[in-house]
Amino acid sequence: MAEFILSARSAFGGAPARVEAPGVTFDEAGPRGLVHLAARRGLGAALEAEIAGLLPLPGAGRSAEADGFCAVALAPGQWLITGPQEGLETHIAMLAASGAVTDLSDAYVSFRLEGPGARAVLARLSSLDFEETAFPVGAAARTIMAHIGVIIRRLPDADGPAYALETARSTARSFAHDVAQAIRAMAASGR
Amino acid sequence: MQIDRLSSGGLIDRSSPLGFDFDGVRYEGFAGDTLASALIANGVRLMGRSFKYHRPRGPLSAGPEEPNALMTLGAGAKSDPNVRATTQELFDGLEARSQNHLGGLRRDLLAVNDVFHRFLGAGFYYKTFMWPSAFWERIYEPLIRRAAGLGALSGEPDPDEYEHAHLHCDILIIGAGPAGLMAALTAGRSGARVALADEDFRLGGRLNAESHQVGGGGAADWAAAAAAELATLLNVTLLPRTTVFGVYDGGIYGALERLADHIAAPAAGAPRQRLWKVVAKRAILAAGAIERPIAFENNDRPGIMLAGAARTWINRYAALPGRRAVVFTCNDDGWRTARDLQTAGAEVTLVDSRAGQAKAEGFRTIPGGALVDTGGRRRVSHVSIRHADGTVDRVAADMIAVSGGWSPTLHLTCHLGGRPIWDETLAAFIPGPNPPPGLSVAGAARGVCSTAACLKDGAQKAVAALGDIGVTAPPAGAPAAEDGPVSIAPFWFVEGAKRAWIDLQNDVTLKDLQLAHQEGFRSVEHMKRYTTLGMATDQGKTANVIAIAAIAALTGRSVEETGTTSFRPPYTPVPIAAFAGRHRGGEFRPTRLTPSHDWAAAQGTDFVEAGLWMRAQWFRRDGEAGWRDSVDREVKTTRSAAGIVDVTTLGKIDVKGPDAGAFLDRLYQNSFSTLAIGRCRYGLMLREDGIVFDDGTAARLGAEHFLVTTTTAKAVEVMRHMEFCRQCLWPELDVSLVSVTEQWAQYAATGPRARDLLRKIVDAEHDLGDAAFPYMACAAVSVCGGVPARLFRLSFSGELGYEIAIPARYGHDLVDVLVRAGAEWGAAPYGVEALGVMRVEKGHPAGSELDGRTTAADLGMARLGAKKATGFIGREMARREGLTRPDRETMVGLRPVDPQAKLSSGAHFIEIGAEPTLANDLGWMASAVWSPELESYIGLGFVRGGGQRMGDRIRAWDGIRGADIVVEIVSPHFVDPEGERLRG
Repeated sequence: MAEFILSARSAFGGAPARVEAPGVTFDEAGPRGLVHLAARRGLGAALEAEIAGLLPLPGAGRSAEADGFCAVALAPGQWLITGPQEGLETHIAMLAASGAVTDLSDAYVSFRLEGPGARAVLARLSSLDFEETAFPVGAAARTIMAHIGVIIRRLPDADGPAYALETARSTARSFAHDVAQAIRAMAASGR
Repeated sequence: MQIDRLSSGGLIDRSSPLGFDFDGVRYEGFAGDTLASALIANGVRLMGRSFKYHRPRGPLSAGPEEPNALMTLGAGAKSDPNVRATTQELFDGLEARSQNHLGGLRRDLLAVNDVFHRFLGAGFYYKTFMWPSAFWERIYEPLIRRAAGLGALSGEPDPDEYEHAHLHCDILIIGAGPAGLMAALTAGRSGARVALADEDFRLGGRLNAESHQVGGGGAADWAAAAAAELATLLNVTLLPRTTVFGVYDGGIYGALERLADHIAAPAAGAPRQRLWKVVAKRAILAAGAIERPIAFENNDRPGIMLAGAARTWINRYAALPGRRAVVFTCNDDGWRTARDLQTAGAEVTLVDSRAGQAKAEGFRTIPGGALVDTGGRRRVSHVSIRHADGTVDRVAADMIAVSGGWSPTLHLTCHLGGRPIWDETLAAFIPGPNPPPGLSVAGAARGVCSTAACLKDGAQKAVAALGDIGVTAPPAGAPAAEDGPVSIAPFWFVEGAKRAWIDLQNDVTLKDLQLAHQEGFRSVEHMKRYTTLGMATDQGKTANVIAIAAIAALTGRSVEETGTTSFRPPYTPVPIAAFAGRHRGGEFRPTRLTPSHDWAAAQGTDFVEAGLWMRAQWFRRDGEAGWRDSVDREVKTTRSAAGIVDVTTLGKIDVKGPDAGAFLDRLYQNSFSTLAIGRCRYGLMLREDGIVFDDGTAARLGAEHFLVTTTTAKAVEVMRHMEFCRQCLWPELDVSLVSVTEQWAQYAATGPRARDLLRKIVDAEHDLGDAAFPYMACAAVSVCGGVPARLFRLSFSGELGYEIAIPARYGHDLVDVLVRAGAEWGAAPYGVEALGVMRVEKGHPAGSELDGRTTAADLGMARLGAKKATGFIGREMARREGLTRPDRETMVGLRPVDPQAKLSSGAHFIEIGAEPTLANDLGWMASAVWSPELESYIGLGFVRGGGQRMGDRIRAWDGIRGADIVVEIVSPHFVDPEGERLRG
């Protein structure tokens, strides 16, 4: 059996997604676990109580973060929860007696976009308003950028605003290519 | 030599000379010039040829409404046709060419059209080129198109980049003239998020074109100071060179920003144009007004221009449009032009159509007069003036400035269906009572005339708009400015004129309108379409109102009764490339790649698009001459040893919850709540109308956990359908749905050696023996020493088969491991083409058979779930007469009598000896392949009453490919009909 070994691979193979320009950085984020959590019918409150020890389940358009775990509201009674790569599904399933847990760690690729120019890049990709008060730290949205479904969440500011983005693995290269183009256009036209 | 450049003044930078070419001649202008103003300064008046008669033309206007001075910029792939010279900012090295002539601009051979103008009136082509009708497309139309038209495209791919961007604001202000600047100052100082867009490269609008004072200084200086203040406000986004071209639902505005059209050598990678989607809580339209001409005989010669444009040439560009000027006006505004012309050094004669307008201004005035003809070929040389007493005299002139009054630029107020209303005192259409929600109109765009009134109006409209969104702000203090009343006596066309141009861009004259009227056209919309009035790039910006007045006069109705045509987006032309943005060519849409895409690419695979997915079509090997060789080998390898195929693209949906089984029972024709844990079942889903929607398998992984698969093509639709059912139809069911298509890479290993192969991969504790893991079993397993996976014993090919799903990160390595593990038996990867061959051999319907017309019974699956007690989607509608009649076309196998006769999908079936007519049509061939197993072409098709016709011979007739083949109707299960192989 030793001859048959499986290694985990990034959606980007040998060509990293990283793009940099003055004022903005975009790169694939490190590996993490990701599960979908759906409340059983009518048991939303119970589920929130079961998870409360880990982190509060956020309402529409929001995310919540605690101790390396993060929850993003997807739809009524549905959340994405990110956490450690190993054992996340089991961990959440043990807590969530009133919910269904599905591992999606490999379904999405996680990216980070940050810097003073991040909003100018997003303005080229998304029809959402990312202005400070319209999309504050902790805000989250499920949206479309360049025809590709994206879940975006505002992180605490680093060097300028910072965002975590999740997109389906199959479209990750197309998405990264579009982001790279937007970054190049921003760099070339100066805003 | 800039022979017509004034020695001082103007908003040009005389220290920055710019060289440019027009029709191969080198000229010089200054920074701040437009292409048209630089040409005028250089003494050039002839800038183009007219659309139909090829008459010499010069600029009528100095702005975006320009109908005449359209040029092609640049060369080769970079060339850009129909650029308005009046808005094109000059840059060093600019190359422009005139358009629409055969031979040179000065000696256009097609000017012969003008000689025969008598025969070329409205509707000429429709009437003349009637016979023979077959000639229209092949001969007449190409000829006419060559003779008439505007600039031509290069035919090469556009090398420039275009991008899209989004802008959110509280208040969008459209136009940066006096009203727009005051609105922006008011809103900007309040702290609101403001965007100010203007199509010009210099903010200020008419303030930059007038000689009067604002706030005690020059009007342009005040505008510059206002723009400078706005530039310091962080909450204000200034968008010069940006045209707001359309209003859309929900406070969304389309705008085009020209980023690099004024730059000789744009930075590499910098987009040429940016298409903005502006989302604004409120918008203020301060787009100003457009002056209109008066129709008189031969009013189209170079040197004849709008009176306001003459002031723009003088005051903004320090270019003198003529030295012997005649001004023809019906209002007070024309007098300003006469004064400015005189100040600039021209000799001026002013003809006012109004009687009694004879003030002593130091130039000759002719009250109650009219222009009745002009002369001069490449530039106007003289003009005939009819005096109030009827006498006509001829005056030498090198320019004529015309003012028929101003029309508010209200186009955007009509984009969501609003209609303008006629204002008799202003003799103009003004915005109607139904502008787009959230849009208010300020300044000249709503008929406010004086500069002082426009300044105040802009500030007030901003206060009101801010109030609407809960911001209280004082109006910005308006500076002192001229506040003269404007008197106008409407005067549209000179009595008796015939070849008096109304629409210069489309060569529509008063005579054409008379002809259209004579031929029975009355509605303004019909007149427009018959004469082409108001069409093409300028959309009749200078022509529409005067045409409506002329039609009103012809029909004896008022202007109000005549009404306007509809204004639709875009306000000015927007390149298709800007709408496309980055999404063109290979980036037209995203592509979806499976986790083993790179592995397949490294095998030299040819990929095929399946929706957004890229799938391996076949794996070419050395020595294979064509695709058929590869596919035949892949099929034989699979049927004799083992083949591996990537099935990741199939849709996968986790269905969880206590009611998961009940949910699937209602969704599928057959039953799933009865499925045992650890087993799979084929399922057929119907649409509400009873037609087959999709098929696939569902596996029961736990008491409350099913995994549904869908076809690749319908994955998204099925998920949407299921969510609709869950949320809207059956909210009482406790079930949740998650798409896990992306989570799992999935491969089928199939063929007689499939089990042997998997034994090398699947960890030893899992028993793969037929008893422990029979056909249609499923289980969670681990592979390659502990990697979690899911194993399904399924087969699409009819061979012993397994599908193995693994977290996507391992997909690339797993397919490689599967191929290596099977190497000892010669196992090989195969593509979707071989997959298709084997499923046809096995008689499995796929997309070509589930084509949105076929029922379960047509596919031979009427009995699937027949004993089921519960209802399901599509059950009742599938019982309709038309869907159950016995002579429906049902799925059968087809074999040509000559095995080498190449069947084609799309062929129609007819009886031997019958005529290939619709009445004799028996059905159609859905799929056709070469079967290496049977060494014959085979097909799946639908034949009327097919089930009862086994063994009959009919013809597969394909009129498109010229095939007519005798085929035998057989069972669709060509290979292993008893299914012994897949249970082995």
